[in-house]
Amino acid sequence: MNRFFRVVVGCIVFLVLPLALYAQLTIEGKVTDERGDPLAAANVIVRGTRFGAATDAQGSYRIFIPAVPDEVVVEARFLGYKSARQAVSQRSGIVDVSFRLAVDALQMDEIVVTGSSVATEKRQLGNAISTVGAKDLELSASPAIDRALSGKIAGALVQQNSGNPAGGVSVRLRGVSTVLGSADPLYIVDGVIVNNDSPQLIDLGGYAQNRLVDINPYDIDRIEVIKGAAAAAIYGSRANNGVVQIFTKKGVSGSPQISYSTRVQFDELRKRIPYNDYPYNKRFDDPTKVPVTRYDYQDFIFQRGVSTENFLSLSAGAGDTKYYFSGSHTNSEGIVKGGWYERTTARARIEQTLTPWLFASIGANYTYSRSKEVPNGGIFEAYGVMTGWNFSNNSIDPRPVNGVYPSSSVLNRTNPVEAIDRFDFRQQVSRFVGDLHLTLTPFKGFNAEYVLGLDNYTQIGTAYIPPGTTAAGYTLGLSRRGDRDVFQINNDLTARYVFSPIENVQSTTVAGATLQYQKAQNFTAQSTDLTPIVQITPAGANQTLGEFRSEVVIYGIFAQETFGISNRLYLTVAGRFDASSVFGEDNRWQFYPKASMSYLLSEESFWKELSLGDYISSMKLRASWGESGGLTAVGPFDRFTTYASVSYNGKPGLITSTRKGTPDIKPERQREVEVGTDLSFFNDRLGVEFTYYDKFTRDLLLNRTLGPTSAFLNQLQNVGEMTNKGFELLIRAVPVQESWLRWSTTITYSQNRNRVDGVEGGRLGFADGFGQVYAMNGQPLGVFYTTQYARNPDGSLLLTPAGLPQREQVRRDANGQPTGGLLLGIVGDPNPDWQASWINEFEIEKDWNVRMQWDAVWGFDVFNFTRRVAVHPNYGNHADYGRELRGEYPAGYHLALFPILGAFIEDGSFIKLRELSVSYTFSPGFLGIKGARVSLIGRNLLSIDDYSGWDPETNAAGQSTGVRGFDFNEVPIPRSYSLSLTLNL
Amino acid sequence: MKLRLYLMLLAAGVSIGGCGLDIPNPNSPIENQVLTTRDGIFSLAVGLQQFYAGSALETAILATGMTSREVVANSTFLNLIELEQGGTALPPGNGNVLAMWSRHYRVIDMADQLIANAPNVPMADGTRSGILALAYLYKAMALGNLAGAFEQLPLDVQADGKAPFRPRAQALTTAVALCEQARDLLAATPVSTEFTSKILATGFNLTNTIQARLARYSLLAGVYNNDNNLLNKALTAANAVNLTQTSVHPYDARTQNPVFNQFNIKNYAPRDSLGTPLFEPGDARVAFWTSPSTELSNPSRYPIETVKGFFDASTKSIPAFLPGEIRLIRAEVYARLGQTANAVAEINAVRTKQPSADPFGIGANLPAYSGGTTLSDLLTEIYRQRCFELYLQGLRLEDSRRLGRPGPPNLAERNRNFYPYPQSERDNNPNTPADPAN
Repeated sequence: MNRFFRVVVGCIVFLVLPLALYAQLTIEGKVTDERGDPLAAANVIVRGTRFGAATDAQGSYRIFIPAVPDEVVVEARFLGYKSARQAVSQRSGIVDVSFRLAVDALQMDEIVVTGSSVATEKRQLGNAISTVGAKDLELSASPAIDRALSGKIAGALVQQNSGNPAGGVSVRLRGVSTVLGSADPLYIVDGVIVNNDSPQLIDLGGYAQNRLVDINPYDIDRIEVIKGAAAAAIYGSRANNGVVQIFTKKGVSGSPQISYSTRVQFDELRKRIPYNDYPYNKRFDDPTKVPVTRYDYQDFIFQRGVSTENFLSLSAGAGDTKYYFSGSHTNSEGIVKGGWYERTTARARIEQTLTPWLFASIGANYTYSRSKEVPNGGIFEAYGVMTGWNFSNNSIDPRPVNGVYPSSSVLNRTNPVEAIDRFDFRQQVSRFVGDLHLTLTPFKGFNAEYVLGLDNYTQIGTAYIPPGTTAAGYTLGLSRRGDRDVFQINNDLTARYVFSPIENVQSTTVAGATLQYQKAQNFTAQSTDLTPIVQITPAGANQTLGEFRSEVVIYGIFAQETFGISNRLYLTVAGRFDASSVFGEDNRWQFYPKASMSYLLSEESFWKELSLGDYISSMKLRASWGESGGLTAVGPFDRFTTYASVSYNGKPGLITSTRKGTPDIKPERQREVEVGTDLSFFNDRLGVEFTYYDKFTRDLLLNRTLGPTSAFLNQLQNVGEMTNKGFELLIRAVPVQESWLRWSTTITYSQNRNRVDGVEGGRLGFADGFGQVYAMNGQPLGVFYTTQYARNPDGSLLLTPAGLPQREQVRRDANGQPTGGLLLGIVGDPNPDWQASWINEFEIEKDWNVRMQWDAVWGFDVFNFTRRVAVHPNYGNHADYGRELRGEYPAGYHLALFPILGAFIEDGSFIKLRELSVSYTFSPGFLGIKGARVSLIGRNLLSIDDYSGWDPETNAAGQSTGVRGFDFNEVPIPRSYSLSLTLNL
Repeated sequence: MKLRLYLMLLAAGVSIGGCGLDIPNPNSPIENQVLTTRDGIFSLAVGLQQFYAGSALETAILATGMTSREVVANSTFLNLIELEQGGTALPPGNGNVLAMWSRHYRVIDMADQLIANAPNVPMADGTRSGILALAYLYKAMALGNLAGAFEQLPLDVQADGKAPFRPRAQALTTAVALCEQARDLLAATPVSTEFTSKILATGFNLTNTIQARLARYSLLAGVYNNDNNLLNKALTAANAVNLTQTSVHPYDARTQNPVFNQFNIKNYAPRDSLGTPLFEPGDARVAFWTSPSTELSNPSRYPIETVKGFFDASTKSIPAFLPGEIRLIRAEVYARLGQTANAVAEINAVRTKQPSADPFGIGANLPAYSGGTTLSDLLTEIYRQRCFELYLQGLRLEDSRRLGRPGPPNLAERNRNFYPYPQSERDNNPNTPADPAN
């Protein structure tokens, strides 16, 4: 043994010895449900300390704590069960503390932090808060968190806009509260405000990834969702769309645990659009018709995509240190040939108790993703596979002859086969998200936490269309590149003090401050007329550059006071002052107040005296009111009147802008009132949450026209209003809890009514809405306003003398035919009347688990623009045009239909079998594998709908706020099957 | 413990203090950066010329050109059809009328910003006088163009959007005053080489253009105010123009000839015989402005030609004034002052001009005038010469009204006298007068 080694060993002994001397109390035991079955991954903590552990697969746990001066209280918690506490008076040695937890369908004991910024039991909250656990997500077979949330939160409308592997998702919490800004909620991951933009660096036809896709759902431990100003006031100017707070997994005390999951997934087109297989080029009664071969272009475009996903995590906790490391790799082929998405993530979380009063937690996440994109085409660009299909005449064989791809359309559209084979569109993202938490507990009743959150990513998009393709406008080639660099940082300091000023009254005071900074830089380069083979932008002519840089600073300070009276009445008031660089100087500081109450009626003595508990085991009434702000519509520099650069005669120049700056610009302000009740029945086996809300948003930013002699044409002004009213219902029950079967069921139902007001001229069109989509006063956002059928007074169609449908006009002529100019009307509304979900879970003989989730979205319209093009005689690849050729429709019917846009509105209502999984859990008993699970998972297996297109769940405008339900050549959401294996070591 | 909390909040406050709320916009400059710096003022003076040449001028030439039948619509855009039909078919919401109105008020705004701020920014006197003269001239040109198309108009922009309207005759006298201000300023302080190299567009002759515009607006103001002093002023200014020197708005790849672009994308097309019934066989100028074509316009089926002149290439310069206009101004002044012989002499100078004798190559090559010499006869002949000499110079609507041509309800030669005021002006400015009947 050399000298160096002896020194090292001596040091280790010296360091470890004191720990050994002081580690005197060991608490161990089991956590089971009422049946005596072990509950794995339940949390057991020593109250008032940082010590705790999670149970293993057998429900066992062990906690080591140093000598304690007083009696300690041990508490066991598990989602869906009532928490339980036991006091331990023993000061040293080993003590056995076991728990049997009773079912709690209402989950009132659950601890949440969102909305109050410190851990609070749900029972104290005056507002509804939705939570989703890892267990609810792990069998959803979804590569992105937001997609997996579909149907799991009452009051959240989760819409997948594209069926691409990393296709974008829009989340709307209690409706939309902005017209010009993003309506997606604020996402916070482990205290880091994460960027969820949907950058369209290269035009893929509306489709864009939203950046939440960078977070691996396997790392998620828990998600908390608050949906409006009443709960979110303390998030100030960023809270109008609600807040989704995501917590990732942490290490737990105990020996190292390794978890490995692998999954293989198959994706396929769920439904085909019937194609025109009529074997002649003209109508059956046309003597000049000649035979043609018809092709189903869907054969050339779609494939069965194969995806694999691998995930490994390692976690442990010993002494004062806990850690969690994970890595994952996902590789997904889409259902469109040639497209794929690949993502690699690595995550680390280290928690360290530094002193009894100082605790640190450090998290780091790195994600690298790349994708090969197949552009759809869409509103702004004609190139693309899907538009190529849509505009194709399917009597043309699109496959190449001697290396040359034929033009497959009478219009200048891309041959879709050529687009798949020869276009090269790619994206890549490199992203780091890191956080540091420091928690101080210097004296009883007080704690303070500092959070530093950092989010940085670079996204690069490249697009290449080689010279000599059928791509309209780019027959000489196109090279485009867009780079986006985003840096965000948030500093939050929160302090809490809890004390009891008088008997039976507990006061919780919270105060905090936040500083947030974000910087985004975009750069784009494009050229056309390329040198063959070379793909980079300098290889072409007509080079154009674009750049935009932005910085935003937000300050906030807030304070909140809660009084808990006799553990049954909780009153909270809070306020936040906010300032942001994006607001006009005179409106820089904003104040957002909130107040709420929660009253546990069932805790009153009369409840027990009247034996009401026999019927209703618990009852809580809650009400809250609050204001919040929205700044997604406020551009970083909208307060300024700017000048634009020009060049004239070789000299640099500046000209005035047509848009006047808004020096007094301020956030859109929402006021929400929320009332509700939480009830549980049958000994807490059935829980019901009901919430009614009324959100009113004023100071909505809209564009106003100015008189030209003011030197400007328009200005953004805080002039609009919007309301969202609705209710949410959540029912959770455990109808059967037998030794061989546990059946739990969850039903959510929600409905929302949206209404826009204050739009100048009554109507505002959206640039990405094909001229069909508007914000209109007195109407829900995004109604379809366009040409419509001419109808008789009895509602039947008023046909032309030739017997064809026609557009409505303002008057009737002498023959009763429409005349005098087009009469436009509201023909559809993409906002659903209601939505619901029903989740059933069966645990059979403890080792089998069957889970099924049905989602319904009802009473919304989809604009089927895809169909409008496909039935037009110029393209005519849709079976319905084939039926016209066969004589089942009058000649010219579909041509007559084309200008009647209202004819292409369809009811999109659907009921989908969103998730179905069957899992078998077992203990192989070899290789040290403690537990294993094999699952067969299906996603989007079945849809019950009357929609004629692929899927009513689609949106050509991607994550647009105003344009929803627009079906125009978006890749449909596939049906997925997967087989997964999870091993726990 | 409260102290501890306080200290923590203080610490947070200090860390916050490092990041300010006044973040400048790195993407585009704002007012105080432009209007208080040399670079900003110089760039704005270039921008003023760019915007007039690249945007405002297009509407002055093509919108009024459609109304006075010089050109017709050659596409089915509703705004163009409305403009071509004129009369009551031209609604206040028409986009081209709005463009003409709004672009010229942006020119006026930029000119006013220069007039207000150039005196406060350090620069050489000759540079400042050049910038101010440029601003006076461009404001005068904007008012002049507007007065050719609108019966009443505000003389300045007003930030609150409630600018008062004034009769167009007053706009014209204001234009005269602005040109005189520019002329006197340059006489007192000649421009610096810095101004001519860094700011003034190459080929734009500032002093000559000021005199030419002074002559034009003095004539118009003189006629509408019935003021012989103004007519004499027009004569003096016209005599001060050097007819051998040209003055043009130049174009290049980055600021292209906007009139060319409109013809090129087939929004407009020139009519046969330059759209006037007064064509005199043998007039060589028709071939300067157009080349023959058998095409008909879409959708109204007017016979159309292919445009030439200053509008057949994206980089071709558009003249700021033509020498022929100066002679015809003199002719009209003489005619109106009863100096018939002088008037006929000027008319003949235009009629008998060989293309080679004109700096732009515009020459009628016609015999001397042999018609009647009443005022009415002379004005008709002057109108005819203006139609062919000054095609697509944004003047025919003005000339057609002033020189007594038939107008609405007869829509053959011009389909409106004055435009309705743009809807967005009426919606926002309570001082907007009633629309003219036609």
